[in-house]
Amino acid sequence: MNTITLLIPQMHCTACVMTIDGALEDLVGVVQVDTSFVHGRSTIAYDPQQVTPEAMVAAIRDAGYQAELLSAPGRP
Amino acid sequence: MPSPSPWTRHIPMAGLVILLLFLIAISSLAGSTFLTSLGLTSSASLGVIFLTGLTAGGLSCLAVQGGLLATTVAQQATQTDLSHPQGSGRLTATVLFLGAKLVAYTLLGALLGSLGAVVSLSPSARGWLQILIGLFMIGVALQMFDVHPVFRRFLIQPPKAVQRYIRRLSKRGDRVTPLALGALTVFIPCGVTQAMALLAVSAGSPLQGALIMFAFVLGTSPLFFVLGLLTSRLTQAWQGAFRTLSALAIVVMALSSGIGGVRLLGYTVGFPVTPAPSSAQAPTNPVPEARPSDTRPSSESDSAASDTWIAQAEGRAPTQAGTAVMGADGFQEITIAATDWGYEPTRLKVRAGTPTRLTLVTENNYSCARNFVIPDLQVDLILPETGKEKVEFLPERAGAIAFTCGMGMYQGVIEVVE
Repeated sequence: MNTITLLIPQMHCTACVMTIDGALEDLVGVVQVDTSFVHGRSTIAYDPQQVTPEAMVAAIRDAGYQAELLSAPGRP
Repeated sequence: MPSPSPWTRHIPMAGLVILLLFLIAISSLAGSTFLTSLGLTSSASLGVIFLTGLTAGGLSCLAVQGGLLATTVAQQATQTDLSHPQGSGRLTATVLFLGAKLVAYTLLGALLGSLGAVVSLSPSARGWLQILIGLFMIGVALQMFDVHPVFRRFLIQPPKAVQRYIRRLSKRGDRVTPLALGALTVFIPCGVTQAMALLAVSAGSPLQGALIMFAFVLGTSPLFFVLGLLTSRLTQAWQGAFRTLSALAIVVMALSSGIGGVRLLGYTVGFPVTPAPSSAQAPTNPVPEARPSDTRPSSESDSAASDTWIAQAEGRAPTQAGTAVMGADGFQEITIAATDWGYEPTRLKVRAGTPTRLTLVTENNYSCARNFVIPDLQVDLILPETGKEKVEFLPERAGAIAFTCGMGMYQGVIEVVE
């Protein structure tokens, strides 16, 4: 199990948090998502065998937001 | 992300047109302003609240809650269109969502109004509260303008568990889902909704709180209805445009609240007063006397007749409205009519060192002008809908005594001259 933190600066409301959480949780291999509107970032626990950080960034982009990797993948 | 249909491209333009109509409607409220109207729950002010929902509120909330409606309606349409090719499932889901939302927010308004009614605050405490509410709204507006991430703390965040529940619920396709989601939108408020919620608290009555939220959410419904039928999410660009308009509306409301608060502290705002020494009047008896037997026929109680009425009662010719008339008992008499549109006259003149009797007259008044406040004299009266009340005081030195309604929306001044 790995964790990464993604920076998502474009969030503007609580609904954005829900949208992003939903998009990430739909990915197979994502175990837990904690998106913070106040800090504009999302911390994700995932199985590296099943999903990649690039796939998560793409899922967030498909939901309408820009995201970038804030921290390198590491163990929780 | 679904691409917007041709209809959604016209939503911002329609919003701007509605906003323009809204501003025209506001300016046509004779003797009133947007600021004053927000403080009331008369039909006129509820109309303004409805228009706020129809324009800024609708746009703001659509940017926040629109995705939720779009998702659930899309689910409903997918499930029900198999048996109803015309898409009646979409219509039903939208109506259920909006109906539940309206009921939930009305109940929330009643709850918030009850909260405001529990604590009985003095005019100065209410003044400070309104100033704080205004500052909070400015924080919300700055967040919506995206000035700095620190202002994100001004937006209320629902608990994570509630967010997860709403998210899971939105993916279901049964009939209960739109109902539940509509009701649960109380947990994902937009900026203007938060401002209205604060207004409901400061109204200090469950009924008024419920009416405020009902009128507001009803106003937001048409835009949601259109979105629900289109089943389309808004693009980031439109959301940004909506947020800017909404933030501007919140700034106006914040200024309204703050200015009202300053007035409740005994200062006049936007009301020029002749420069004079500090008004350190010491009232002989600031506690007003209510004299039900003095109530005169309502037909005589209009503001223009106030000075005439006093003069006639005392067998003298009427003087200029707002100027004190000496009574036989050594009191100088002044009269203020509290109407649905404020006080008349708003500027009165009395002589320093002379006991003064202020008569307040009302006739079918249902506005906040009934709550008459003179902060400097600690006078805080609830006037009858129709009738009159009297306040006696001694203006010792030249200066200005400000008076206002209980919301700090209407104001006037008694100028004390040597």
